[in-house]
Amino acid sequence: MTHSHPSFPDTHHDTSSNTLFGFWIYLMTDFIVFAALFSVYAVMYTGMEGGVAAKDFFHLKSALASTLILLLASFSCGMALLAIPGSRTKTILGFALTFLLGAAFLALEYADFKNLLALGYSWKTNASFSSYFVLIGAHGLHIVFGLLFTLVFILQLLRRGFTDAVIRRLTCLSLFWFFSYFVWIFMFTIVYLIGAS
Amino acid sequence: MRFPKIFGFKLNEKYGEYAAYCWNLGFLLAFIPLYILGLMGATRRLDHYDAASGWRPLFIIAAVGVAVIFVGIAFQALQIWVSIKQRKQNRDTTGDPWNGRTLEWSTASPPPFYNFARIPDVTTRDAFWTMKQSKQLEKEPYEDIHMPKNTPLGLFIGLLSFTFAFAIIWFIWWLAIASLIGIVAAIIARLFETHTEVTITAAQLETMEAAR
Repeated sequence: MTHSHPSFPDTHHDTSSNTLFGFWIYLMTDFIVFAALFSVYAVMYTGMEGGVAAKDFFHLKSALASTLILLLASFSCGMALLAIPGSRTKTILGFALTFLLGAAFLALEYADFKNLLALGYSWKTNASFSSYFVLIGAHGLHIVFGLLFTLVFILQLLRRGFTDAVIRRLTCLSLFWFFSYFVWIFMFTIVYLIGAS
Repeated sequence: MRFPKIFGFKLNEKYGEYAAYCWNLGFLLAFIPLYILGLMGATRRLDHYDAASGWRPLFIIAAVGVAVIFVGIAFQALQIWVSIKQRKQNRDTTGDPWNGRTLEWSTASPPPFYNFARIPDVTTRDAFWTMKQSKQLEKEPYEDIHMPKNTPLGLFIGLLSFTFAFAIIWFIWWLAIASLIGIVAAIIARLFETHTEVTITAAQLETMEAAR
């Protein structure tokens, strides 16, 4: 046996690419979760005991506004990412804008839910409402965590500047925002456009 | 089989053998009659059966088998008890009590926290065996090892995930919310830690491996 020890790459410097790869795997598994929820909705959305379905209450304009807001959020997030590592101010501004737009999106969704609940329809009403609330609520939960970690990473950027770890986390965060927007496109088409037609 | 590697001492072999014999014999006695009964039409988990079916002898043999398995379990319990009492005599000082083939036996028992002092060069299936056969146990200089530091946060997240899951199953909303906040707080606390890695220098490795 020859003993030419391969000069081992220092694992210390390799963690960023591992993290990004791991984050992609997480996103793919999350897609599977959403695929399951979409399938449930596709089966259930006409399943309406009592003759009402969630789709009877859609406002296409509100859904379109949500879509555009989320599009802008992922756009500002992309701009923020482009400013790395040149300008800390631009990056922070970009992510701050993402945060505000994400919060606006969430406010619209909250208003939708509140409206339905005020009319007496909840996830307990029938299969159509259950699948609607779970699908849209799961996406809303992603936005909540996106907002939380946007705040956390803005704070880290302020305190630490562009360290390897901060850049890595911001990259993952932007992937997460793109993911949220990507899933929302399917919600807009499958839930709102098909439901309203 | 990995017991000494994990705990640093060997289990009592005599009681282990008794347990193995009891288990083998008991298993055959318990299940062969049941297979035959199954072919004769008995369904699983009957609470009673007709005496006219003629199944009784086979069921009694199966019950004897269960008793033998139980004796096997008792031997295992005795084995653990005796082994713990005699752990000083049965200590595995070499890390390789059975002349093993695979690399885990090249470390001390129980293994040091860094596992391998050198990253082994694997060229064959049973790398440790090959090294022993060619008498080429590694003698190269040590290199620094970078390791993540210990952190209790992973444990906390695990425990809180349990309470969270338990709470949402049983609709205990305050506990669910508290657990979720705890999980997120632990993650954020982790994100704000800066020095999460530690380097074990070659010199430290030298002393630790020499003391083994």
